[in-house]
Amino acid sequence: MTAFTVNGRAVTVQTEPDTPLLWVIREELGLTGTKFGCGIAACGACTVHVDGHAVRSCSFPLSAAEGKKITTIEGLSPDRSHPVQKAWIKEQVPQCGYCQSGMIMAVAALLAEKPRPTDAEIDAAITNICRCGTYQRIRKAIHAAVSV
Amino acid sequence: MPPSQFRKLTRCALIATIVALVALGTVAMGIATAQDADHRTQSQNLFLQMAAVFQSPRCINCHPRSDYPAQGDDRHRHLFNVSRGPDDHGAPGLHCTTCHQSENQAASGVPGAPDWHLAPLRMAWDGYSPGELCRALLDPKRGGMKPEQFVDHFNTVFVVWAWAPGTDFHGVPRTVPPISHEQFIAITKQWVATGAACPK
Amino acid sequence: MAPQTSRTIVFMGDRQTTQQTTSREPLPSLAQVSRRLVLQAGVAGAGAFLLSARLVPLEALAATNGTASSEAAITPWLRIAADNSVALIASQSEMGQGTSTTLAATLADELDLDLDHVKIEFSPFADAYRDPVYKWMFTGNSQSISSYYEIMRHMGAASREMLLTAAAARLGVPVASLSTKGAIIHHAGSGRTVAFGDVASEAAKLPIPEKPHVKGKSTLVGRAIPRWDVPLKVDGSAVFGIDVKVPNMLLAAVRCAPRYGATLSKYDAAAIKTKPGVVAVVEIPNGLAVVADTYWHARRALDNAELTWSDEGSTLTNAIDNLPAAYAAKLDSGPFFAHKKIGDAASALGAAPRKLDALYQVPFQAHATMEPMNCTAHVTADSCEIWAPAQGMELSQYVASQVTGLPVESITIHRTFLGGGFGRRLLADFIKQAVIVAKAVPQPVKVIWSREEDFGHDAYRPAMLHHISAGLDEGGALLALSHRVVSPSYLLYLFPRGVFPQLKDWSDPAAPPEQFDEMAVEGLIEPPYAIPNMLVEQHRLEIDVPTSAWRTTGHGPNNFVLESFIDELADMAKMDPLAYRREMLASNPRALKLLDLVAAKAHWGTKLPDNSGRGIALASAFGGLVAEVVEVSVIRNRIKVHKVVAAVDCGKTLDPGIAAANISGGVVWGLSGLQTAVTFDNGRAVQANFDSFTPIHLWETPEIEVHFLDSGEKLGGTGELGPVPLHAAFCNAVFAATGRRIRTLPLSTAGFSLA
Repeated sequence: MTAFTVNGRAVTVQTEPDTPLLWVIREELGLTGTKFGCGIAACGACTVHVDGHAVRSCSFPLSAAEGKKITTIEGLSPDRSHPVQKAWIKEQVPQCGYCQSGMIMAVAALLAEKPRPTDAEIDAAITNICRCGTYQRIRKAIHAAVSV
Repeated sequence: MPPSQFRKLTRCALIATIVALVALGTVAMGIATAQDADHRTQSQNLFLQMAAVFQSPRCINCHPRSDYPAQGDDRHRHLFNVSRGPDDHGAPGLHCTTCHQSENQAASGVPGAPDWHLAPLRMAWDGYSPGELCRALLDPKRGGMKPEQFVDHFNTVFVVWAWAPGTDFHGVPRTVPPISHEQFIAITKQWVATGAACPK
Repeated sequence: MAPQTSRTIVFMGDRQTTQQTTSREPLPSLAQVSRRLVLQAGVAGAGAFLLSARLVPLEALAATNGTASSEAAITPWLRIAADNSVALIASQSEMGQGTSTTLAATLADELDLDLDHVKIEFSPFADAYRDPVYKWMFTGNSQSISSYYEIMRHMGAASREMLLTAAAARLGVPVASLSTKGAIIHHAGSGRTVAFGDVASEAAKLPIPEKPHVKGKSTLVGRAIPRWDVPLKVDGSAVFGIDVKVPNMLLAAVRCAPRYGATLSKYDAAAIKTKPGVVAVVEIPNGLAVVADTYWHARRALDNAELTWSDEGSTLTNAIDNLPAAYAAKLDSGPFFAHKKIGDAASALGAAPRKLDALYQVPFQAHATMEPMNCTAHVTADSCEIWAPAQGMELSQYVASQVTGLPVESITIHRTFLGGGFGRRLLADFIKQAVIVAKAVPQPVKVIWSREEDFGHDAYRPAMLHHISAGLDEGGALLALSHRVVSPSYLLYLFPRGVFPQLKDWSDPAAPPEQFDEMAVEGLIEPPYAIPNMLVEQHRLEIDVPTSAWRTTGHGPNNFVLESFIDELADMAKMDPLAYRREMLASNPRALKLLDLVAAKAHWGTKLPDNSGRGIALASAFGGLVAEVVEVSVIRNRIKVHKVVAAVDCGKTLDPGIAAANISGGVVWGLSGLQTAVTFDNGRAVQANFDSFTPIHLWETPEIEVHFLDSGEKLGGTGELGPVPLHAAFCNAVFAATGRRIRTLPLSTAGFSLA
């Protein structure tokens, strides 16, 4: 049994401790906002926050979640009011949208650590893959989120 | 014996003794130097064996001079633009621990050990010869380790990881350093015992 | 009308109601089908994606009648409930190209609605939703807007008229005295109002007017409006195929043969079933599915299972004596099919005082949608329900019918958002697989492909070898152009299945008649330039790995060749590449204007720093025109892209924001395609994940500028337009910067990389 909190809610999950947290979030916990893209921590679609830091949940075992505070895209705000979400809507960032949960979580973690990132800092932190190519609007929206 | 004769005898004896002592000392020193030279070479050779471990990809990939780690046996630049960051733990927003956890993950093929991060720049070994590496390790401004501390360090979980580095996402095991961890410790102990000499 | 049946489906907590009505459409005879194809072949031109009617008996399904008590369908495109809530129906799959917003906006404009208070729902398969050009329901080929815009205007106007007619009858006033706003009908004279919902069921009974009054002005269309799906995609609530939840659902992981054509020869089902959570082990074509209570249980059990594969199958490799030799041999020997002849290219080439010829090559490519392939299916004795991120709705419907043996009208496909399509989800292989698995268990099953499975079992954009030759006059003007293309077909899985009567399984490949198999030469057969003598020939290579269309279809690779080669000719003629092209566009003022626009916006001809260069390229594709200028700097072999300027004429930009996003995202797709490739080793794709098939990222994305020229010509598509001229513009820029010509992709084969 592994006990942790997800989006402020205490949960206990009974399944193999080496199960990637991604699948526990999506299936045992039913939160499908966090996406499966590659399974090898290459694409970032599975990004969640563990104690406030960005983590690629496809590569994070359930056992490591014990006692931690997990935040998924669903928990970033109750109503799309997180500054990153608001900027994403204002700049109309998503196209297919599949990468965007992970992208938003990565950006939110960056801004929590570096509230006014330079373009170089954005380049170094945001390595998620977007196959639709929304990168230009992502960069614009990050700057917009900061100036809110 | 008349006093002058006694004095002469004493002086001779003293001189003789001194000469003898000096002679003995010289011989003794000669023997010590030869032994020393043997020890020194032996020690240096032992370090050469240790260096093969330091320079294996599992170790040197995270002791780079660059702003980014290397990856793989071919030591290519770590994919995904990961970088050192201000304190060797990755860029703000993309810490090493974003992907690397405290244990190797078979499912994703991502290696792991507790507090995965880059060695600081002062511990960069990229491009060093074994001699330079040795001196760097012992330099108080760089590695800052005394020889007696090496064995303890090599038993820390981060170093031990190099011999259990997990598999990639295809399930292929990563290569390990050319000698076993036990041999590495044994050789290190010998190196220390033989004077911890650095190769040229 | 025949009796109506209704069924309520609980789908992610939303109520979704489908109704089925039966009505008969006459089936064409085979002779009629063939004749129509012949006629359309003459008319349709490049990329002709000719569809027949179906040869399988089909009951037409109308999707949209609500239950009598709660919802009424006013035409197949609008449903209104008694409480006045409005649902606009989207026939086209939403994969990020924004058509579900723009087409709904078109409907909404006619109904004086805004999109804030309506629901947009994806339709099931029905005759009403078939693409009017091809009489086949699919989303692809960048033609959703050109195919459906007028239908939306017409149907929106028709729906409004039906509602007004019903309201007029209710109020006892003339229709002309009524106006609409925000789902309320106003009678100005008396001040009385009637909600859409009040008269919806009466309106639904009326015949659809043939010639409704379509409004002249647009309120939403023509502006950049917020996409309805964006909020869902920033809070994690958007449901993609992989997210589908159905009560009692099981999960399945699949593994197909690591080498194409190999089959599963040995596995131990009993051993697999002992693994945690495993419920069933099901054979699928060339592979195995493990069904369990969770995906990870299924995946784990499958990963740890000992599977033995047969020795047969492909031995395709990229070794010089294998794939390259196969292509080269056919380039030498043919035979070739001539897709296009203008004048007499062979003679004109022979007689030309100056000549140039070159060999160009492009690699196989993987679709690599961010959402891996997946499908959920539930099969019972008399029904089959599918939830899928599908592009090929009609094909999927038939394939499911084939697999289950159930009539087509017993198959219901619920369409989710697509996490990328790029043409991959036009095929029905993943649908077929899920239905087979679902047949084996009573519960619904969601099949999820691993990323490795997704890369390994794609239908790849084919590699192409292209011999291009030109004859020039003394001054360097183009007299003759000849193309010899060696390429597998792009249409093996996409060409209308109905024309292959011998084909038992519609998810299998089938080569269309050569004269209709034109996708591999798109962009060559109708260039924007006046070329007095031209020949386009293709040898259709047969190889034993699946190939299919990829974003940009044949236009992308062919434009790389054509526009790079035109630059080579400009160089031979010692002319500026822009000036050289301008001379060939005298009879195409529309393209000339666009080319001049992009050149001006990109400051063509102004000084650049050392090691830098600009390249230009023009394309006529997907019903529109696009021109791009790329600016690069090159240090040793590393190429940094500084800026891309694109100019687009797609007739009219119905939503400038969405169109710009499609184009700039398309530029990124093009840049990625410069460095990605799929290679083969012993019959399997070498690239298994994003570590070795790596699209570009945020830090590698240059500044991209997009300009639109609304010429008022016919509507063209923007979904695939952006990448088309990118490769040539880039390579032309590299030439300008270095004097080095790139004729093979990916860049690594030419000794370059992106910086």
